[in-house]
Amino acid sequence: MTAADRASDEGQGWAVWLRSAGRYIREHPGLIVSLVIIGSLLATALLAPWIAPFPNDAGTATNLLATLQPPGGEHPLGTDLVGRDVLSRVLFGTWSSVGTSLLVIAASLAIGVPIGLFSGAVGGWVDEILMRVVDIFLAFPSLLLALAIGAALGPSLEHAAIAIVVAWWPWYARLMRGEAAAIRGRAFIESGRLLGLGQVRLATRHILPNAAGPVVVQASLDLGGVILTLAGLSFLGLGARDPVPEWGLMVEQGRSLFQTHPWVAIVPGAAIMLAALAFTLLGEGLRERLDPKGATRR
Amino acid sequence: MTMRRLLLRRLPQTLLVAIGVGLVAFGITRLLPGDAASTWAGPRASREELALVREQLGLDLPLPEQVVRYLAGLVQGDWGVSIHTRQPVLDDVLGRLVASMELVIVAMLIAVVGGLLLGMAGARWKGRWPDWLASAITAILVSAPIFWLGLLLQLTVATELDLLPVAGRYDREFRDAVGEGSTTGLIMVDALLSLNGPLLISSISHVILPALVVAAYPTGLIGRLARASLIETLGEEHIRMARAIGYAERTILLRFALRPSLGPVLAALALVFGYALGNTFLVENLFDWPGLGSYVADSISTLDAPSIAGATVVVALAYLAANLVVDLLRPMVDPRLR
Repeated sequence: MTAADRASDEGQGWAVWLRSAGRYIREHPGLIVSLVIIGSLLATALLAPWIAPFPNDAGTATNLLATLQPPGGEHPLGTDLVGRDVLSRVLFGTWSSVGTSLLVIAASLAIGVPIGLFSGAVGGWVDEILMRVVDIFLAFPSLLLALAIGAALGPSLEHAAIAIVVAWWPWYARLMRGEAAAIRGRAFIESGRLLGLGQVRLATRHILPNAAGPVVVQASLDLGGVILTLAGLSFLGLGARDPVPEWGLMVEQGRSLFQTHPWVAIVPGAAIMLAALAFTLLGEGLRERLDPKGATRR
Repeated sequence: MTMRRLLLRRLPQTLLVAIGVGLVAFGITRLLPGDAASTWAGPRASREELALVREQLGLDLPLPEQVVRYLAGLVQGDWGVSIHTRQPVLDDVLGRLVASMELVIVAMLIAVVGGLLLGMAGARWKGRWPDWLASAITAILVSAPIFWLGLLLQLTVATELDLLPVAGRYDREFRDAVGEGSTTGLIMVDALLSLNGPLLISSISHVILPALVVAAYPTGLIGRLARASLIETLGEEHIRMARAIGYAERTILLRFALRPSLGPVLAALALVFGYALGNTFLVENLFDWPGLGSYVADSISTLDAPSIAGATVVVALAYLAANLVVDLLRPMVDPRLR
């Protein structure tokens, strides 16, 4: 390569970079779309107090002079039964819907992963008992178990979140246990044991990092499911209470008006779909990178 | 492994889990807010009446004895009495389960056919526009909140276009015919058996919308799973062989790739059934469908602990049975698992 060639290459460095970025976007459209949506969701969750046209409408404010206004003008997405701006409530709802779902996944991981890791790393009868307990929880369809526990705890956003965690952690315990048990038999763990490494160190420093990929992928795929479940519980009256701007509750509030004033329910429902879609695409994009064989495994 | 050995291994496991399901259900009845005895006796009950009800319901016994009594009751068919219908819970729940199953079975048929078609379209034209379209459809189906989909379909298909009824299980004029007593509980099957054409048409037109809504998530899930599984199979040696021989791409897909790809789909079928059953709890109320979902919705508003627990148990048992059936079927479809 001559000096001139090298100079022209450097001059086109940005073009090369742009071209490879373009190729990446073409090859992973789902990942890019999902990151854009998730970025916007994060931004709206954080900036809602500043970008919402009527921030007070996410709280106890009502405006009985402007009830059920159709979309347009002062209220780009219309107003609800008590005159609250739908756009403002949907923007504020990002935190109660998506934020709560993130917390639910984090709590489920915090319970399920250590139990699964312990179960898989120890093996034997402890493993057997723990996994039978997990089987019992997984014997219920997740939504139904969350619904029954939510009904037992009484309606509130916190209770709905707890109910979903109770229904969700066993999935991570089972997944983590399977990965840990598979890794436990591998040669590098055996040599670690011969070197005199303790059980805890082996489990946390050597098994966990190698088993984390599929768990991370599953957790991000599940976020969409948790968002839908949380919205479902709220829709059934087991989640957030008015005036909390939660998307599922907002759909429920628009339900009886749907034939005449559909925007009250359409807008928050579309927000739920968009958020669930983004996390599903993110999970699938991550799976391609971290756990390529996971696509056909449940 | 033969069917019998598989069954012998799985049955004790399933039984153990079933006992656990009963324990969880008992826990739910204890967690429910409010005192079961005062909910049962009503707000005007005197102290003596309350004590009597407490004794009748066994609430004065020590906890372990209550647990044993509850489990024994489940086995013997005594699931308690519903607070809001005042009927035995088992009768209530079984009757409602049949109505829900009618919805779920139709939804599962839609989901399997629709999902496989979407998956095949994606795998056949991978990376081209039919794949894009199929992927977009399945992504939306697994992301849309189904109660919202239900509202949208009711507004567009039922109200605006007037193509299908908005809600209910059959038209009002058939109330006497259905009320006379049904042989199977599945109205469509009843209508077929009694050769009642108008009732059959009425019940089918009523089931389509709610079944489509219940099928949404399962269709998307099966579609995405089938696509991934088919693409994996299409990369295998025997497919390259078939291509080299010169079979048409369609023949390859249907004759050589489809069956070996069904394993993961079938393995997920029990899970999908669970989703479909769970989804009925979100939409039955919307469509005025007299199944378990509406029953539980009524039970929640009346804090009816025995009914909620009963419905939870019956759904879990149906789900367990589905898991068992799928585990037994898998080696039949995929001989590599034998």
